[in-house]
Amino acid sequence: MRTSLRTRGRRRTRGEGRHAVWYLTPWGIGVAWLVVIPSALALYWSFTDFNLFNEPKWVGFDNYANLFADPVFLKSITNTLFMAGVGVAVGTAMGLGSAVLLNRSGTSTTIFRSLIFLPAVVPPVATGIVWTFILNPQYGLLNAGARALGLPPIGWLSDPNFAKYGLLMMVLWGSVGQVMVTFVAALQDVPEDILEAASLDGAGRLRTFVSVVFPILRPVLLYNVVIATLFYFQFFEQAFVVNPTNLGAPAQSTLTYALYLYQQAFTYLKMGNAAAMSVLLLVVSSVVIAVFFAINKRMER
Amino acid sequence: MFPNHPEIIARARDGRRNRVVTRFLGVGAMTIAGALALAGCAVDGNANESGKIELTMWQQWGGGHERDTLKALIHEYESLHPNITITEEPVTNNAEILSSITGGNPPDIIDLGNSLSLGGWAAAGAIQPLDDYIKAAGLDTSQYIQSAYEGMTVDGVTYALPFQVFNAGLLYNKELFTEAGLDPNSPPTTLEELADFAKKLTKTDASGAITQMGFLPTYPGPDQGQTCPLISYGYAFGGSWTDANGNPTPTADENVAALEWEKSFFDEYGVANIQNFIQSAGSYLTGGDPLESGKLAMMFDGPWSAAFTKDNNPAVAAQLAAAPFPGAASSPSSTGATYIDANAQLIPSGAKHPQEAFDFIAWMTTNAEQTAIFSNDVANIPQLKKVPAFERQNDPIYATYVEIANGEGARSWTQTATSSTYGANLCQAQDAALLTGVDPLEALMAVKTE
Repeated sequence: MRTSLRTRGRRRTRGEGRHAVWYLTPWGIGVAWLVVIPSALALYWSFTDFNLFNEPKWVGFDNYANLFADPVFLKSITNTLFMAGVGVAVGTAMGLGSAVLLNRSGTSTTIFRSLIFLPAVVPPVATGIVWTFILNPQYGLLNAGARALGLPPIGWLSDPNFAKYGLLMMVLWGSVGQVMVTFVAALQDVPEDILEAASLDGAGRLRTFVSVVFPILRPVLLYNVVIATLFYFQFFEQAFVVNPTNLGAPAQSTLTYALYLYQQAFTYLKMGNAAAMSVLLLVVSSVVIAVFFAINKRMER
Repeated sequence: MFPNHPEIIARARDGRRNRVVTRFLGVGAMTIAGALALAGCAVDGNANESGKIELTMWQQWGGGHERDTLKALIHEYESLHPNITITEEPVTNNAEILSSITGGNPPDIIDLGNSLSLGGWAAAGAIQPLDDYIKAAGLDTSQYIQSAYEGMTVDGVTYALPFQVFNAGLLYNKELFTEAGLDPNSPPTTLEELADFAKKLTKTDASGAITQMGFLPTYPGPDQGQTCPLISYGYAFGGSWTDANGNPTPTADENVAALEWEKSFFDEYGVANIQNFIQSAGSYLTGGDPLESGKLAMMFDGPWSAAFTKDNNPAVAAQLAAAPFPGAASSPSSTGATYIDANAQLIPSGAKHPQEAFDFIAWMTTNAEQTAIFSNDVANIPQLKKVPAFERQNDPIYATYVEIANGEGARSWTQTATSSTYGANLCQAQDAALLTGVDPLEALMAVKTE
């Protein structure tokens, strides 16, 4: 990431620190109240037998052990990892691809960029509801196209083999635009003279992209991959909306980690399990993000 | 005299099985729960100086018409008890209800659209046992339809009073029967016969896609906010989901047979074909619903479906008839098997005015006149054995459901600390067996019962 905003070499005036404390206090209270205390409570509850009403009873690592013995928990993990893997890869590739294609000036480019970005302003819940119509096997727009090609109707949200793809289409439709915008911004930061130098050295378009443009894009790529990964790890809204009365349907094929966490807490009243799941999610997310940063660092060298 | 649609849609979808309102909780679940728990020290005391007591009631009836009916009932109570005012508020999100209770600021009265959560909430201590109040008030619980009342008890302790009963039976389309060469006045008498009839009543187009379905074992079901049908089919095979001590028996032979029977439809017509047929139909309880649009010949559902068809598609409604759901050939005495449930009227732990709250729910659930008015308006069945006559009773379909509710086959869900989890997991087993090809016995063996 860029660090140009960092102030350097300025001497701190006296009393500035004291003022800073005042400015930071409201924010600090908010963070303590809404993040630090609940997180600490969640960590504590994850080691207790707690149903929201009883006095939490210390059970050590029982909740964690129970979770790993629970096939539904494991299923929610594989579902989430699958969607994260496919979603991050496809979403980033599509965002980068459209940014490269639309990295030029002109009215038509602007129109296309706007069109691709437009879905990003639609709330996820509305996206979910609209897409349940688009994905309808009989009268849905998508299968109308498939039928024109002579393909059989596909139950995008009702067939356990396809439901994850149906959900992914929904999410990607809404997210590719945002990814594209960040890449376009980064591409426009690529200095013209470097590109000229590359072409004078006889580099082709692919070679220029790989050796000159890509290294400049890498921080933005890292940003997009991190944000998307965190999104899929916490994937909830669209997965909730497509079947609010039977979460994860059909046959738990869309039961994401976050949906199962919600069920543990508010359907089964197993707050201890839910807390353990949230702790695990925090740990795993942190590790994965650290790995991404490490890879980035290595590529920098 | 059938009511308008939107409120019933809301009621049928939300009320019967509580929809959880969309809210981003995901990982924030803990944060919100924690924050609410901490923020629990909110406003207190709503009895004002003049001795007037204000009660709050969170209710899960539909909006509009149903809400008006409830308001009229409350108004009647207030006019009889000038010192009481009751404010009703629709709250369909059970997570929100739980948060209010843990936060120490719950309403005085909760009306739950079904009793599925009751066992777990009782065991957790979220709601109050009512036995002492019942004894003190001398309330005679034998005046309730017993199966509905039993669903309000957990291990012999009463945690709620039933109000407005609902159940399911066989709804079928006589015109489609005639077209298929079946006698429209002879609905199937066994589950095996039902499957045979279904074959004759199913049509496919040239591409193999289903255009008309004889019977859909999983429709409406939980995807439409309804009770898991496997539970009732188990009863239809003469099975039970708990033993005499209330312990879960998911793999009892009859229950496995019920799931195999459901699976036979998916084997016969193909999972993708059936799922595409359901997904392609319009929403449940609208004109596009497969039963309402005349594309589904037989359905296991409640009287509200017929009432909606009358609103949305009178021509089809005129062809609808109702019958007790047949039992398996191996269990002829199980005819009329169905779940039976009611709106549960309960008092949360920490309610400010539990005695006044109890007085109100005792009055509403035992007042025969008010019960009859309510049943007539919302097409549910009176929870009381005896009520004055009302107009809707002349509707033959409604009358059939009243008969089913009073019959031997109507069974309430055995409430235990883990019964809500058990019920939810049974339905997951059903989906696994029907949609992903898991063997029925294996699917039921994998059901976690706590």
